[in-house]
Amino acid sequence: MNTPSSSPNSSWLRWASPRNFDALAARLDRPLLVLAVVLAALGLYWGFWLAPADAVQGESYRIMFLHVPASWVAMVVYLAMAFWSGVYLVFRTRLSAMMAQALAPTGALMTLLSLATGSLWGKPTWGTYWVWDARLTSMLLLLFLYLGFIALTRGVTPASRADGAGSILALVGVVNVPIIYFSVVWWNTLHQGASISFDSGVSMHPTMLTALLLMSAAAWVYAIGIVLGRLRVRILEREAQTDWVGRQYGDNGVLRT
Amino acid sequence: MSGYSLQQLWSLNGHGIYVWGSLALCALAVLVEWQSLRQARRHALQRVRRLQRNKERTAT
Repeated sequence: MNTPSSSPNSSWLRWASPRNFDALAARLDRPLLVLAVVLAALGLYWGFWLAPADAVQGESYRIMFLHVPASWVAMVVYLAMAFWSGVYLVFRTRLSAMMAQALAPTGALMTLLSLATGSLWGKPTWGTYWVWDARLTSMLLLLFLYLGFIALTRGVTPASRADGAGSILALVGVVNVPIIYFSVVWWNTLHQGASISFDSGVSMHPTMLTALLLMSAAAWVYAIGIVLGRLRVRILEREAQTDWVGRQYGDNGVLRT
Repeated sequence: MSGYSLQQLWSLNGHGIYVWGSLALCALAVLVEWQSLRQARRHALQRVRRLQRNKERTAT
């Protein structure tokens, strides 16, 4: 007998249904993107206007307010992608595979931004745009993993096979994330250590820290909002033939956008 | 940077090209991603409506 707590419609399992999750994402994606713009505006004001110049790096350190949030999001999005891939391989819930596929382009973009802003920070700081050191090389590998995942999940047919192959690649590649994080500890690199560490705490001016936290929050909220938006597109693409999509998004649908 | 003149703000002691270049790159990337998502959603919705019309035509 189904008790209220064990019924799929009344428990958290209801969100495993693309239809229910689409309704939730529809309420969240746009407000999150608006919130991200507000947080980014505040973060830029703090970081580019209020924060003082760095004693060692001068003005170029301000690239940190873009580079660090992009790098954090790039790594954690990969962990989330691997998590949902694992869930797909264990439970075969199609929404998990769609979630992993919705995460990948944003993760790839954040990795690309991390590499590009890192290069632009490297030139005035190290005198070069690029060195083949452990942190930069492992970050480049992360970009290739994202691109490989996207190519695999879009290129293989049928979709169920693409979901399985992509999930395996995402899980295999997750070993690269701790390598990126600890690369500055394990090897001698040009790259500086962590900006904020649980062991050594924070070693920056409070204004700089506020700006960094605001920009990080903006990057997180943006990533969540854009991933939810992409997941809704993925759901539409994959469930286009189903009755519920026709009822909600068809010519006479209740949700037209 | 609150006490800077416009010229100082632009040059940032010779680092302006790197700092503003990074900011412009990030802004451009976010705009491109958002725009491509909107386009993908529009295409997906058009496909859903086309499929639904075909389904209705077959049924009648």
